[in-house]
Amino acid sequence: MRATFTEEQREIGATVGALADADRGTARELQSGPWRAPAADGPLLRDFGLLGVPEPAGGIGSGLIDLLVAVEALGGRLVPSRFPAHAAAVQLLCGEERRTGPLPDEVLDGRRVLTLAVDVPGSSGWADGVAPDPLVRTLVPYAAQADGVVALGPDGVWFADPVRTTARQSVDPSVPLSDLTVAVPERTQPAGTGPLRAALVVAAELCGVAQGAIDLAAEQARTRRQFGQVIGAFQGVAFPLAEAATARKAAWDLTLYAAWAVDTGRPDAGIQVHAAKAAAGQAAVFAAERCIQVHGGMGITMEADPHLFLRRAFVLDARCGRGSWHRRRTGELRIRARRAGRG
Amino acid sequence: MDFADSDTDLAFRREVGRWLDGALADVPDQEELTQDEREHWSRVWQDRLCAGNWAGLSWPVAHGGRGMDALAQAVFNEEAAVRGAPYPLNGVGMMLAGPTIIAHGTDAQQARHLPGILRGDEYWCQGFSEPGSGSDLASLTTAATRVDGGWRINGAKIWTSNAHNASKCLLLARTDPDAPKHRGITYFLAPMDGFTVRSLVMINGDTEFNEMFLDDVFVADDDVLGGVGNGWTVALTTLAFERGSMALNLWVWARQAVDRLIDVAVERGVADDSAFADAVGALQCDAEAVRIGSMRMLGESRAGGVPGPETSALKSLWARVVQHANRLAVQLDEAGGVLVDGDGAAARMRRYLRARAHTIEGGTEEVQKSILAERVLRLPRSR
Ligand SMILES: Cc1cc2nc3c(=O)[nH]c(=O)nc-3n(C[C@H](O)[C@H](O)[C@H](O)COP(=O)(O)OP(=O)(O)OC[C@H]3O[C@@H](n4cnc5c(N)ncnc54)[C@H](O)[C@@H]3O)c2cc1C
Repeated sequence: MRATFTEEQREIGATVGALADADRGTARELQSGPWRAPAADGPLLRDFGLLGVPEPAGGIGSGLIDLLVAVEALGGRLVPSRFPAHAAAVQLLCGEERRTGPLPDEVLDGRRVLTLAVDVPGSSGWADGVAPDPLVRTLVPYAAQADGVVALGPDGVWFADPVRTTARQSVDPSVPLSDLTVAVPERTQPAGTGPLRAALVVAAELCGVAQGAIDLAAEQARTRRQFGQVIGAFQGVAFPLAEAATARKAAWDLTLYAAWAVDTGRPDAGIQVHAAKAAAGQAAVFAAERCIQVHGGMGITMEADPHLFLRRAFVLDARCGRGSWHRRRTGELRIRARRAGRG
Repeated sequence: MDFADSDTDLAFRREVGRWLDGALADVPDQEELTQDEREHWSRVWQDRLCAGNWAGLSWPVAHGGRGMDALAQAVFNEEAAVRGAPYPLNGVGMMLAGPTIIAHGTDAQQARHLPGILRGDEYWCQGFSEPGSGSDLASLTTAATRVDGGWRINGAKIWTSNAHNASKCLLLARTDPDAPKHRGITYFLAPMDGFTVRSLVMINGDTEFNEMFLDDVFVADDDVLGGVGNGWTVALTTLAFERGSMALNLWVWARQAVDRLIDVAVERGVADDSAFADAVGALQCDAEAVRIGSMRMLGESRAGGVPGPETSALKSLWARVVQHANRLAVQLDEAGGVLVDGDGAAARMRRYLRARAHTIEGGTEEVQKSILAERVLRLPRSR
């Protein structure tokens, strides 16, 4: 059993973490006004674009977990970079990499920034079933700030031509969201595990958001004093934070394992990804809510940071299939497997 | 990060699997048995483990073991649990007493106590908890006073699993009432002659644990483990082995609880309800998190790290899955757990009630949370 991070993975976490640290505060600045690229945006797109890209797709042998470690570090600091959405779009294209061949250089070196159009209005799952309007997608991040859109439909994935982009009001203005109508595709390529890969990128960012909220809440619990002691000494404060830490650990472990399952082509990869995405969304929302609670009245102000974590958690929980949908799929697949196993 | 078994691990797993399949061929499904029948099979199973030379799997060769590491032991336990093997009646001897004596015992103590565990004719129990000292174990008051050649011990122990089958006890007693509470404790390898053992009936009707009364029980100096006054340190070793021994069992028990829940739902015709799928989805997330978290923990300890407070998170998740799955299974019954005259319903209620102990035994849920608060979140101590 060698279920430990490699030296490279630790380094990726530290390097991206340092980049992200310099961008602490950018999520807050972007709560109003137009989106501007945070300092890390360019370097991330340029230098980290090969993380998690399989070799046949133009990668250099980096596994999915490498990418997730980087994205998790960004989530923890709420960095409002296009990198995670770009990386998820790239992963969406990597589900059948042997058949589709290498991705364009300008995508892999970040000159052409992608985003992903996966979610369907009025539905909680991603667009691999029957969609009411097969050409409309919602919750598309950075639509106006990206150079290309990768869409998912029942027949596969494709580089989509947007014919109409409608900006929507995002609960987290640092992540602009749009509805998109795309042109009828000339051809699509099979999605394979692409949607699973993309969902894991989102799950990793959610795990980061959960960790960031827990860190902030714990910091408050260690310093704020009432009744003559720090409030973290009260179990009514401490225990829900312990629960949040447990949920976040569960979600991160599920996410890492699911990535390994996808990368190694295991037959249970699907259910593992559904479980990871469900758990990550729940962990992030729960942690952010607790973070608000621990801050008392301050937690209810725009001025303090806790609500930023909640906003990001909501946006990401809905991306690439809502958490509640992933949870139900997890259950359905588990029940089906048990029934099949019993004959 | 690689979650696959290495070739050596895989080969070992196969060897274990082959042996288990043969040794379990005539063993009935434990879930269907009465407690007496289960104890019978636990004894038979213990004998087979000893005869098959598995009892000292992770003990050093010098002590009669196989010299394998803690992961190998965990894999063995995992493979046994997956196959629904009985719980070995001397689990405390093999997993707690042996390793603790190897870590802290003198040559003479090792020679005196280890062979009986490997032979399988000396069963052990863990006499830590007392009526007045549970979560706050270090407050224990069972008193050992110096007498010629040893100690005279007076006090009471409680919740002692399997004491009714044991002949030796891992016994904590206070040897210095004036020392700070963690320092005045001594760890004894006590023969149970003179112990009065009375069984306690659990809420599901079983009698797994006991109370023990010690009235002027004599324990010789030779049976002090790790030195007078060092009992707390030695006890922590035992508790660490206790957690380690269950490293890969918890997820199996969690998965089996979810399996059984799905089987009931299929029987009841509700397995296709979306609300049921939602519930199973949540359980599956937690159950898999226990499995994966355990693999990461073992990976870390093999890489030389020390398992940290994450074991508390895993224990907590495991308890929640099993309790919740067993509750749902009961609620799916004809009268939602009120009528327990059918075989299946009675067994489900028995399991549900037994699972209530999962948030109490081995450190309560609240203690696990306070460990996480303290060591992961760096909040002040609250216990
Ligand atoms: C099935 C079973 C088998 C067992 N087998 C053994 C055995 O073989 N050997 C052995 O020595 N012991 C055994 N135990 C005992 C077990 O370790 C204790 O029950 C456990 O440590 C709790 O102690 P207690 O029962 O005295 O409860 P208490 O410590 O009195 O706790 C009562 C309640 O108060 C809570 N509480 C206590 N302190 C705090 C605090 N600081 N903060 C928040 N909440 C708190 C607890 O969480 C619990 O909910 C067994 C128990 C069970 C249920």
